[in-house]
Amino acid sequence: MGKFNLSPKRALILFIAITIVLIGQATWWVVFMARLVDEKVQMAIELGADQSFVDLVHQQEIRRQIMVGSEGLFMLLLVGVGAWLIYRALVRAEELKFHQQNFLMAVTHELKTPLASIKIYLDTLESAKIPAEKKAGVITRLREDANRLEKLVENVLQAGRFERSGYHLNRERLNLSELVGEGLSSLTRHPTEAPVEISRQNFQDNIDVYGDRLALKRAIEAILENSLIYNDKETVRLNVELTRKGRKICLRIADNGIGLSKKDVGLVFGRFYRVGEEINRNHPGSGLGLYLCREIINAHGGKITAHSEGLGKGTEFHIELKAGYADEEDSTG
Amino acid sequence: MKKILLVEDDPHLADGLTINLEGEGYEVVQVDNGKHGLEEYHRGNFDLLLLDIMLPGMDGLTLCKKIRAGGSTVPILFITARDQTEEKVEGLLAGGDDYITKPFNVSELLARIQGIFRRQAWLSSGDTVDDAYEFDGRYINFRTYKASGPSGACDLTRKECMVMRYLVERQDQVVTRDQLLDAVWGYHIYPTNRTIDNFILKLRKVFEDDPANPRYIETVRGAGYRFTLK
Repeated sequence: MGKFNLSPKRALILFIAITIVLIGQATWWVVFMARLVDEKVQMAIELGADQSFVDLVHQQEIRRQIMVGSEGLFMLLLVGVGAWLIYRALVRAEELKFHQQNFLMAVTHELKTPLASIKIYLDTLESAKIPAEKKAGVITRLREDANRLEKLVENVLQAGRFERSGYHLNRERLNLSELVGEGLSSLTRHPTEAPVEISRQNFQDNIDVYGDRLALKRAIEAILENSLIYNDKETVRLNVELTRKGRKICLRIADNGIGLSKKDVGLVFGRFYRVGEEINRNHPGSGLGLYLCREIINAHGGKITAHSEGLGKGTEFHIELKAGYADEEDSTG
Repeated sequence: MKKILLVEDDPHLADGLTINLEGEGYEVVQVDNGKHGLEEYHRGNFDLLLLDIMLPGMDGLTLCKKIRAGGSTVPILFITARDQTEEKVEGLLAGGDDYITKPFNVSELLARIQGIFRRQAWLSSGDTVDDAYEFDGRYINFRTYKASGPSGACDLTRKECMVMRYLVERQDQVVTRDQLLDAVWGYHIYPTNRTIDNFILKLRKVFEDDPANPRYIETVRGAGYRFTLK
């Protein structure tokens, strides 16, 4: 099957070409109709009609042509709007295709790299040429690679479940403050080179939420991981706030990372979305973490937003959840 | 001791490869970023480059092109997760010598590396033809990759040189495309042996008076090619 590739630039050129043709067509139409009026009036004069009849013919023609012209312009407008919608759809389809390709490349890389690492370390263990001291850390690395794979597979499966709207939230009353605290303490064990400084100003203890422990843990970890991965500073700084006002719980996680451009702020929660082109793989990840995060928070009836002053100026994630109890909520998301 | 530059951003994979390559007696310099890879390449005198394609800083394909643009003929082996045919060909067109897809066994990688060194040794061996070979006023040096013909002097790539050498060594014999692929690339690389035709076209442009009617590098219908001096 042949490929039909229409880049946004080509789609724009096509749209402009269609618009020019339509304007040309409309202009030609108006000129043609004006001439037609003149011809009919001239014909009436030549046939010897008196002035009142000529005026009548003239007025009738003008009225008819205004009517036909209006219908024509309306049609042109419809065609123009249609062309514009097609152009927008093509641009969106192209963007989606780009992100899907990026996602496929990212997942391929994220799946195959730990798999390659596992195979190589298994060969290392079997090799008689490698001294015992070099084999010492191999088991730990094998376990870490297996964990990486497990996490990615789980993310992909989870995304599939959300997509089919079949994900079941196992809700319970849980201490969100502790859950966030657990996520933060696991950061010190994260294999990142940069040290992490965590500030917990305005962090209230014992804030309860009625939610799915595993899902919320995954969402919080996705944000924290994002703050570490997209950070080029020597020290990663995180400022975490957790407050409750009435039934509204606010979790705010701010980092000193690479920040987001205006365009990316609105797109980071999109499925498959990863900043930049995948071949220049500046940051690990599959492009599913924040998507899953948003789906989880939405399934809990909450809201998540990203904010950034721009590139190089860090990113803030705001999560709003409702404080609630078992008798006030449904048991499914 | 052969010196290998390994450009791979995954620390686990890079460490695992380094341990095994060192176990085989290679000296390995490990870099986790494309830009640093280029800097390190200019600092050291390497016998082989192992490049991941998806890299931070600069992707492996661009790094390979930059190294080749500087006139380097150092063998380059791509290690990557991408396994589509187009992507493999893209890597080889960028100047790569071979391609290995993750995940792979250490033994497979070592065989590829040894294959590259073996082919390189054959190209510069000078056992059957001299490094500098002349015929009918044409010239090719299999060590420096310099060539000249009716259209003037030019630099050939190592692969082009290898194809020409294989033909010259078997003067007046029919050489099949499979033989060429096996000797020059290692048979596993290309999905179709028609790719070799592009290299023959390039060589004809360099050495033939009329590439459309070749006199030295003949096509033998249904079989392959033959180098002949009439």
